[in-house]
Amino acid sequence: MVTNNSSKSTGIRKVLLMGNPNVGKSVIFSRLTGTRVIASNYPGTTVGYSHGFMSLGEDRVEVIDVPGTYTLEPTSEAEEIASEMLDTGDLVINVVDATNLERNLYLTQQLLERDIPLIVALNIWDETEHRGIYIDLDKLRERLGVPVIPTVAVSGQGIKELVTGIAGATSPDTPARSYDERWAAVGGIISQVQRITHRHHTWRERLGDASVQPLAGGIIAVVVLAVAFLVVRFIGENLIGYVLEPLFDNLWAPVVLRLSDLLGGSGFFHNILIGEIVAGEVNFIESFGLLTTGLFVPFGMVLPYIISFYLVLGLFEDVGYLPRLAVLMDTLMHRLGLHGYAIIPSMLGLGCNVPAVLATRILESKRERFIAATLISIAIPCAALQAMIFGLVGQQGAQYVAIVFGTLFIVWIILGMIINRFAQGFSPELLIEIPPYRMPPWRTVLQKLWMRVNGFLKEAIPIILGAVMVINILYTLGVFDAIADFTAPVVTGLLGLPKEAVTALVIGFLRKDVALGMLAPLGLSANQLVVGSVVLAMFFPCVATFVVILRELGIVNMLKSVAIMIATALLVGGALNLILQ
Amino acid sequence: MFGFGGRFRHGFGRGEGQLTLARMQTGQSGIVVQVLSGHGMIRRLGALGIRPGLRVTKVNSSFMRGPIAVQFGSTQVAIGFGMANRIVVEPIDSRSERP
Ligand SMILES: Nc1nc2c(ncn2[C@@H]2O[C@H](COP(=O)(O)OP(=O)(O)OP(=O)(O)O)[C@@H](O)[C@H]2O)c(=O)[nH]1
Ligand SMILES: [Mg+2]
Repeated sequence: MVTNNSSKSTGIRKVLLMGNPNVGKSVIFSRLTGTRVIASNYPGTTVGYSHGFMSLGEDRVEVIDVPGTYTLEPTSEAEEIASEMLDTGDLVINVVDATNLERNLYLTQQLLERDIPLIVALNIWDETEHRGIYIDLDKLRERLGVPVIPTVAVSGQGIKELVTGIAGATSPDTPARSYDERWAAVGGIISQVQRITHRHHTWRERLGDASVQPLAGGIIAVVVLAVAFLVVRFIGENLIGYVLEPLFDNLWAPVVLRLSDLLGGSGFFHNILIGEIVAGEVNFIESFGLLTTGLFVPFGMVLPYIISFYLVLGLFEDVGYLPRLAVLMDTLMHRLGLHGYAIIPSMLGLGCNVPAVLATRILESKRERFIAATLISIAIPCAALQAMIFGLVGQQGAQYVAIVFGTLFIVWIILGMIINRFAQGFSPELLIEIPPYRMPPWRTVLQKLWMRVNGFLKEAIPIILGAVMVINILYTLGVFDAIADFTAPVVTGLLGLPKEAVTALVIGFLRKDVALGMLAPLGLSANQLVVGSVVLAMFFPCVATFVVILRELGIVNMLKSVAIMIATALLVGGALNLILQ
Repeated sequence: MFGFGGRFRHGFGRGEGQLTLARMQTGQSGIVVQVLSGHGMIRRLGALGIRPGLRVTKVNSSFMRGPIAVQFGSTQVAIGFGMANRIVVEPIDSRSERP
């Protein structure tokens, strides 16, 4: 209970943001704490724990963005986390979707039964009017017995009132009730406070309905995905061709050459910083110094695709297309032992495998999570690796890029069918809420893009530079030569690659983009480059993905997963080598 | 399509013509009567608001046992085919319905 010790302190230390999935908790969290977290228009965006701080009077109060839950009786892992967190908080801000009041109030009823002060944020208030929904706020306050503040999280409307309202949060005496009694209570409230007038379908709703029809939706999906791919390529290529390559070639290359002179053109430091300069020219891809390849790979090759990919993914997420894609993909995904919603972690994996493996938490069973995580880390190349595949393999011709992606896609399907046959347990059926299509404000889209680009800059670049450094040191120490001789039978005999290519597989554990870059100076044929790219993508997860797989699946399943990866990579790589020869 | 819908409704008779969600026509509405399933699934559906007495409208048609999308109020939910086949509804004849 709230105790007022001093005049200013509220005694509240921990505030929980709770509510149904996709009601705007994460947007409210960002507003309250200034800590940006990912918000998207599909249920299950938040699957982990994020916390931040807000000031309340004189206190600094912890705020927790709890994963969305429909009920406190846990039916999935995210809901389990939610109901456990409830016991640790001092106050709950129950975020309610005003356009779905009836369903949302079930959880509110459960929260009322708990002995914890409650305040309701009636969010998405802006959409009620054009949906013909009228809510009597005073009556709702009276019936619930707690403060109710209408909010529009995306614009910030009502957030101030919500913060001031926290002081008035109460915990009305409510006895524990049964499932049916709660629904009866909700029904009673709804009949008194809500009035819905008839209105015609909007074009957005029609489009929404068409998107889940087997035929119309299928056509929409093909068109939308093809356009998305072209847009990603277009933005990425033009950023590289017109912005970043000119910057590197015209501005940075002269600086590097000057520095090379200063360092005397050779020697240990020259090698690490600049690498090899051939005939007075800087080769940003092959020289492998920290200031040449070390900067060119992340900024000149990968960053443009990170920007273009996350811009398009952000639009998909915020418009609300992904759950519809899940509906269309459901039948296919069942063949892989998954259901349609697994398409969401898979799409995230095209950006980065780390959040993708985390997002498998939206799947209900351990079995599905094992299959999804394994398939993601084998067959779904992250944006950084894709950028390098476009950059390096693309030089040989678009058909080779197509072979790489085609192979990975086929592996995704066939391997999924095989694991589905042999994995223990069962996979449940799809049951998801499909949110309405929304037009995301550009500001929201760009903010989210910046968050992700910033994440790449902060987390990936140190590892990329570290990897380039490690490569140089291992070369100097002759470690790579020893490994290359040792693994030559597999790498040369089975995969048809020069024995030095093994260094790429080793470095692939750190960063796959840098690793693929290591194949560039080896003078491979187009077919060898294809085999190398495919094996590198499948062979082993990068260290960051490895850690989340270990954490999410546990050690035994992680080992199983890794065994599948290595076996598949060698098998497919060997087969590809035979076919392409 | 409409001809088939009409025949369908009459073929099952009025009043007792209950059928499952999976077998409803696209665009057809009905009242959920019961969920022929275990406690767990009844709760999972209930948490989303799908429970006896709810009026739902089927949004899509199903191809190769794909999921069924239903609309109620401003909520839309997609339900796996097998699950949808265990949700019994009493269809509403839209012609006899009063606004
Ligand atoms: N129109 C409108 N949209 C909103 C409002 N608040 C949030 N949204 C949008 O609703 C979607 C869901 O927001 P999130 O903050 O991700 O929802 P959440 O409750 O955190 O969802 P989960 O993490 O999945 O439980 C996003 O696309 C938001 O931009 C609002 O007040 N009005
Ligand atoms: Mg969230």
